[in-house]
Amino acid sequence: MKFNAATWGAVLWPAFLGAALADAVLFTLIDPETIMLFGVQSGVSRPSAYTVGFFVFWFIMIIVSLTALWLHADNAEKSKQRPLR
Amino acid sequence: MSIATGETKVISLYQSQKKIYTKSVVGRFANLRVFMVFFTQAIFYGLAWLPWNGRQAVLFDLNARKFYIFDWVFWPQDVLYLTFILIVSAYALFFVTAIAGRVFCGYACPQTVYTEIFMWIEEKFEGDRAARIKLDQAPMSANKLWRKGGKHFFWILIGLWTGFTFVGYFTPIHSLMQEVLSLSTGPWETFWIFFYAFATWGNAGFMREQVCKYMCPYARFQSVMFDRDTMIVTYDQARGEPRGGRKKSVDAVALKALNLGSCVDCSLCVQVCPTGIDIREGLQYECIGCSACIDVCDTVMDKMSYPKGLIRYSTENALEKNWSVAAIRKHMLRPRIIIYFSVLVVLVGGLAASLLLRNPLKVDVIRDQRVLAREVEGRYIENIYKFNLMNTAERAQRFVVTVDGLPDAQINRGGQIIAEPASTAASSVAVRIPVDTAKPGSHTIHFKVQSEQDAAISVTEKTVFLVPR
Repeated sequence: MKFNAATWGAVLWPAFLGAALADAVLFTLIDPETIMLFGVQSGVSRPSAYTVGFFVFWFIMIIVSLTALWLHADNAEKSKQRPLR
Repeated sequence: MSIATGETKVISLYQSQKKIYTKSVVGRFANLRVFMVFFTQAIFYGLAWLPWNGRQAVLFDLNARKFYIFDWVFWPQDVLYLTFILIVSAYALFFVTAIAGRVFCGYACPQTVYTEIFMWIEEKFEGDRAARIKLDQAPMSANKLWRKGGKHFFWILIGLWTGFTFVGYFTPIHSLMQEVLSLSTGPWETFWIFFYAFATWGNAGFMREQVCKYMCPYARFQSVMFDRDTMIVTYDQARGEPRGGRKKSVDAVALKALNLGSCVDCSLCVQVCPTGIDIREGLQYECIGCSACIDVCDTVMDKMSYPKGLIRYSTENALEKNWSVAAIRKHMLRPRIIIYFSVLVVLVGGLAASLLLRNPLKVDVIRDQRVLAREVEGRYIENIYKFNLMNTAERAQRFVVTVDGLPDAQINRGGQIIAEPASTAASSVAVRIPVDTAKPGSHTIHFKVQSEQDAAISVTEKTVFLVPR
């Protein structure tokens, strides 16, 4: 699998949109100021929670997309090598 | 991929990009685009500064978890409205696309708009298409440094202003301005201003058509909305071919004898295309419907004294069946359009109705679990309730709580709750009944919370009253 700039674009951009959506949904339902971490008030401000949340989501979605892409390319390669009959 | 030789050759569909030097163009569609650039950007840069009810008219205040859109204040509980607004926008886009093709891409998409602005600056510093190609090939010199540097200076300036405005929709822009001027913006505000500025600079300065070609999902799924009656930018093959060079004296009448079509093969339509395609090869997914090729071809047709419109807005059906403009209009009303339109009307109607009927008061009542139902003053049974009021109206209100469901129930404390504009108010309400007027156990009661200023604003909540044994 060759990863060039366009491949990265195709991975980064949908992951970006997905992360924005996930971030919006999560923090619409949950107010970051009410989050407890290990039993104590987390003390993170709302803007930092929104921002960090966004990048965590983005990172996860990038990893998932890359994995899917890599597995898919691998599978496509294998099914090509094996003749149908 | 050649199977025959046993070798697998990977042909990348994403070949390394050749930089596209877009020739600028004048004409009616170019004018329309310039107008749209001013129109959309006046809204984007200006709306953030518009005052309304003593605050910013449109503000998605993330820090306060409240969205202000003109007269409305949305809370996280109102997320359905925003979802609705997004669905309506998507449907409006489908509707417009089915009729008129990619007009959004060509005139209103931020990618197009900022690319247009950035290319205008580029042309001011680096000159026209030929000059830019020459400048890029030339070795570094003081002249090149000044031209490139000046361009980037203004690109970055616009990028930063765009980033600032963008953040100004999520945090009050007036205080953000003060913070910027005193260099005291918070870490996240600073980060997002620079992030958005960088994205603007990168997308409009460098990525340009590649965003539309490789990254835009809309470009891929728009074919679902298209049919053979959708307006697209077309090249009239029957009229244009066979293409070829000719003397300027060859008029429209002399063409037949020379076995030539109207296309003079000047390649200007390719030079002006921001995505670098040749419209003469037919409808391609890269075409963003910007009509630059229409404008430039019309000027060539004028010079040759041929009729305009060799490249024009038309539909696949119209081109094939030689329809007139009136016939194209007649085919605009088709099942797909009617369905899109009806759904859009229902959605907009539903949204408008629910916004108009929206109750500016939300009430949450729970029986205070920490205080047991108890006997007080030897004569009453008392239960305590915790009230949480949300006053989404933008004025302070005094709410009166009444209780009903048990014959002699009355409110002893907390019967009046004052809520500030667009904020929550909490209160503890004590309800008493005389001893022995109700059987031990749980009894259903209803609280009515009503605004003193406006009797129409009221909410009734059900809860239980406990009588101990």
